[in-house]
Amino acid sequence: MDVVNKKWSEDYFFREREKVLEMWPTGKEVDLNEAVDYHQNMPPTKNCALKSLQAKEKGLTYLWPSLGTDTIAAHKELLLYMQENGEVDFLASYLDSLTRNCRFKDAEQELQKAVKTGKAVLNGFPIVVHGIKGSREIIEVVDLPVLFLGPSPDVRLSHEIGIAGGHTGYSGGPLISFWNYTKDIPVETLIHNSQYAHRLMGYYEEKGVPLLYCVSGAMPSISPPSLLIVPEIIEILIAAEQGVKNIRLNAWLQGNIAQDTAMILTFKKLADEYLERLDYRDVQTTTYCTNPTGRYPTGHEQVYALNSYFTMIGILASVQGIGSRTIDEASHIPSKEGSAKSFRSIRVIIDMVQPQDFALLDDKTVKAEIRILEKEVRTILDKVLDMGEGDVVVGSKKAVEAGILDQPYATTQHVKGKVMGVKDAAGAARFFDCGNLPFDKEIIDFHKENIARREEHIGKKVDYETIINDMTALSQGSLLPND
Amino acid sequence: MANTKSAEGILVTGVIGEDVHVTGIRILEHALINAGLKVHSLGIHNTQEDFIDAAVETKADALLISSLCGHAKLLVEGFRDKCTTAGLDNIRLYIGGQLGIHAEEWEVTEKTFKDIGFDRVYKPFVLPEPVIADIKKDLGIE
Repeated sequence: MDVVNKKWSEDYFFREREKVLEMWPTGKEVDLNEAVDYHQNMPPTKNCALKSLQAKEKGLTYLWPSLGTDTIAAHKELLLYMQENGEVDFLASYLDSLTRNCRFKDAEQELQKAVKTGKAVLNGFPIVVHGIKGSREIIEVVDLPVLFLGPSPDVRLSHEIGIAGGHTGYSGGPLISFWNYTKDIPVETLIHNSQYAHRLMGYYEEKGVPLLYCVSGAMPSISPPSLLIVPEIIEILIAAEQGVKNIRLNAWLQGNIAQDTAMILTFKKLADEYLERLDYRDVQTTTYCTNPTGRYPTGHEQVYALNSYFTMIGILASVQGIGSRTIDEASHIPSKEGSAKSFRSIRVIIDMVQPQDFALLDDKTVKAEIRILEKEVRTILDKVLDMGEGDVVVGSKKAVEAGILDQPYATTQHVKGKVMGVKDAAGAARFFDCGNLPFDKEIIDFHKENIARREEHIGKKVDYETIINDMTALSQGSLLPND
Repeated sequence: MANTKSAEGILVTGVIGEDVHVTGIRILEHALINAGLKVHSLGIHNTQEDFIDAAVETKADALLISSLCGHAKLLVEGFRDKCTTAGLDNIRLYIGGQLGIHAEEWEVTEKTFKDIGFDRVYKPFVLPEPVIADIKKDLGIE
């Protein structure tokens, strides 16, 4: 497949679209003109992109829960409950994993079981099976904007139904899907599928309907933040080329205040810079952060504390949006009560800290983190662009093969998997192994020196045992493993 | 079990079954490569046949199977016999991860998998170093 970073012609898009709409009967319900009208008649307060921009203009921080269950009745109840009791600003339809893998027939069968028994069977909202009517039934009963989410190898039909069904944002992306959700699908196939989804969003934008795209990049696993920012900026550039105009930047926090702050600020600065450099001048970006993935404590009191801590970091870096883990998700699929309690507690932290307008920008540790992080991101991204002779898609494909774009613990077999992180004495993520990343001596030494301080502290060389213990520390409510 | 050929340290690694837990095997693969062993990684979502085909194709000395879903016993039933049928008479078999759903005595778990024909069975959270030492010893490397 010859995939390049070039806006799809309307002709090519509509030819692809015929095949996509054939994937499941509900595809035939989509009438783009009718859907554009539907969105234009929706109150602007229910639009994810417009509300995000409002946060930016007013200096606010909004709460984004991640929610999804299978039947219309149950999903409606969940969203209404969160709207009434969760003090959140947005709602979500998290897609079930069968839908995310385009197994619509299986999703339909499981949905029928859920309808029959009244008990949830699927792990999310099967948007394609519910179709436009089902989707709009949800959107029309709530007052808040709703996005749909879930990394997936092929979100094309979910986009058609989700957007025509009244959702005004999507969170996911080709690279996070590639690293963390596939085994042997080539990266260019995932990018091509995403280009379709972005081109569709771009089509709505052309007709005056703002839609929000939330990039995801890669999941953190003690990842020095350049490993997260680079794929996100690549996802941004791919989306912008297809006409996406509103983008939410997802900063995965990992626990070290200086490094996490640096990540939020550097990501915003460089996302805007690369957008401008590649001549995408009318794209609006807003910032967002969330807790890391990985094992979490089962004790609710520990999760409240961790959620508060991560929220505090986000507020200090002036993010416009915050997402969070929930108190009961380490034990089971989060309950609506658990989700509402989690977000209500986060709201307290926001309301306490935000009026103080306290910024960490002048802190010298934060500045040092920013300096090295910027250099790492530019080094990798510029190499990717060079490899593609300016084309970020062509460059990404080559860079994955060369290990210039790499991830630890990927599920895909198509990456080198040489890079690996370990925490330093202050709990910041450093490169245990830089793999084939094109770093100079200054960057490599920075990581080595920081790891050496941890080694002094623990009295031994960091090794695989250190890494394993680092990974599970948070689940014990600690930044670093307890001795 | 004596090896008739001199082992080169060719290993096939992967996760068996439907689970996507990949962190453990990725750490192990990283360590095995650093220890100079030749790793042919199958990643996630493999069947018994995937392991056997890869072992035949790569002329592997050992198979390292990871499983974290708790269904390992079902997933590797009859594995040694299938290896033998495929002509992999001398191949070493290693397994580790979260092998069962229920808490039971380690000796019971270990015996279950040794009876199936695994040479070595590892407890959850085993570190790479002892595994590498076992492999080198078993294959007569160094």
